[in-house]
Amino acid sequence: MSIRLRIIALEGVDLWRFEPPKLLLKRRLYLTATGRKYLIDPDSATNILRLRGFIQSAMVHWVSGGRVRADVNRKGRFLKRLDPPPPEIWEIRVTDPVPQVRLLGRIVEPDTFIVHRIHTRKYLGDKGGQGWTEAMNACVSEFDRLFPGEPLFQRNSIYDYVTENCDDVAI
Amino acid sequence: MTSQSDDLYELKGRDLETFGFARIRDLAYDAVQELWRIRKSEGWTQVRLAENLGRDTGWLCKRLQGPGNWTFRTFGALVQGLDGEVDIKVRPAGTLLRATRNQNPYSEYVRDVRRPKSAPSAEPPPVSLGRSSRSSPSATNSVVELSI
Repeated sequence: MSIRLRIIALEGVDLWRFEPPKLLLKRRLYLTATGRKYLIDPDSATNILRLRGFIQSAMVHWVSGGRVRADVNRKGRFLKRLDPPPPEIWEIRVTDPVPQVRLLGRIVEPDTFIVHRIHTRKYLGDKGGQGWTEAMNACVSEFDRLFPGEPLFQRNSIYDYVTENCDDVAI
Repeated sequence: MTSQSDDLYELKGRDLETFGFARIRDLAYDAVQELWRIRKSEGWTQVRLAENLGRDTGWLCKRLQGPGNWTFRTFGALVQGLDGEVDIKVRPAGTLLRATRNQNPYSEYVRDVRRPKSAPSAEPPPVSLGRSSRSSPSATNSVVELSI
C-alpha cells in the first residue's frame, strides 16, 4: 500500500489533516492522535504555557507555503532533519516564544509532514540527551505502528522534501 | 467521513491574539527576507545595510536571523534600510482563495475524491470537506498580506 493510500485509510482515526479553512494551501500537514492531543488538550504543557498560538502559526506557515529555511544537514531555521539515530526525524522549530517548541515528526512524501509529538525545548533538554532520544524513538514507534513496512522517505536534497519556496542558504 | 474537527483551528482569547501576532510577524519577516535576497543578489552586504541603518552588523545579523525581537520599528527600519516600500492589505478571509485557481494539496489525499484536479476559476475550491461553515472566531479569519 502506498503511503498516500495509508494516510487516507488512517484519516479520522489515527491521523488528522491540518487544513485551516479560508486559506490558500500549498503543503500538507497531519497530526497523529498523540500530536493532536498535545495541540488541543488544555492540560498539555504547551497549552498551559499558552504557546498554542505560536505553534498554530508555525503550522499555518507550513501548509500555506510560507518560506522554509531548512537544511538536511546543517542547522535549519524553520525545518531541520535531526541527527540520527533514528533516521528521518524532522522538527519544525517554533523558536520565538519562551520556552521554544518543537514539532517532531516525519516528512513522508514531498511537502507532507506528519507531526507525532509537540514538546517544549526545555522538556527535550540538552542536545543528544535522554529527552530527545525518547521523543525521537516515540516518533518512530508511532510511525511504525501507523505505517508498518512502509519505506522511509529519504533524500539528500532539501528540495526533494520541500518543493517550493524553500532555501538552505545561510543568511 | 472527515478527519476534520474545528477544535484544530478555532483559537480563542489570548491564543487567538498570540496566533495573530506570530502570523503577522512571520509574514513581515518573510517579506523583508525576500527583499534582502534581492538586495544580496545586487551586491549588497550586511555591512552596507548596517551602515544605512546606523547599526552594527551584530545587531543586524540577529534581526535577519529571526523576527523574535522585532517591533514595528525594526520592521520599518529594515524596509527603509533596504530601500523598500510596504504594501499592506487586510482582507476578509477566503478572498484570496476565491480569486485564485488553487489546487488543494489534500485533494488526492481524501477518501471520496469527487473533485476535479483543477478547481474551476469562478468558484472557490471545496477546501473544507464536511466541515461546518459556522463563522465563529478562527485562527484564519483574516488574511493579511504583506508585500514589499
